[in-house]
Amino acid sequence: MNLANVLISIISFCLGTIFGWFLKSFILKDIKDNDARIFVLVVVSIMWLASVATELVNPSYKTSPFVHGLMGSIVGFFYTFKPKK
Amino acid sequence: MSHILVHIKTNFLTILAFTVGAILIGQGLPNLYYRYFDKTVYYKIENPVYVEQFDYKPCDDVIFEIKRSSLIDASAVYITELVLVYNNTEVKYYNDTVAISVGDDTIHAKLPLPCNLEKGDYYLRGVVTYKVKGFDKTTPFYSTQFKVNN
Repeated sequence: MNLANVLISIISFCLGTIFGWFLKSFILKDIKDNDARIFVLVVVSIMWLASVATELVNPSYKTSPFVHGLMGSIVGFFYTFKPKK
Repeated sequence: MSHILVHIKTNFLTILAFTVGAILIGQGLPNLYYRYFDKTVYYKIENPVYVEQFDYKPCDDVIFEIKRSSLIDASAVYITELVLVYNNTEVKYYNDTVAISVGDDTIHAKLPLPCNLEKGDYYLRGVVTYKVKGFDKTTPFYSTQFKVNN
């Protein structure tokens, strides 16, 4: 892992966080917390499945076990999470 | 925030199970596929491989043309045998490591004939070994015949 990859990861994370905040604050502001939970759960699940499918189709593509674990933990978190009433 | 921390603490084992499951499936499924089910030919050689001349002398270099097509970038090992047609036996063995890249191309390669080679009809045959996702794949090839005269 070099400096460029680390910077790209940090920038992607920040942009993703800003995008998520914007989405929740302005576009989906009336969405219920439980619906938001399900939305994130479905999106992350689809992205994880897409990464596995891409690795099956393209042998040059490789997803790090760390990324698999991170996505699994996010899915596990939101699967069991009960928003505050 | 405390609500989230309490949730993580309460459901730690479930979250851990999802984490481990994602790692096992994410790593295991592609490995399983490429080991047992993947039949894709990633590296093709057009057979027969044409030898430039028909007549050679011992110590000469045999020059031949390989038309190849690759779907991947990889390192490959060419194992080539010089075979006497008369009794189909290997006379000499060559081993070479090359880089292969995506796309079609034609390369000209040369192999030195032994200086003590007996006269007769010969051809080259061999196999290219390369790895896809850590698993070995092979591509066979053979050449046209040529004559060795003293």
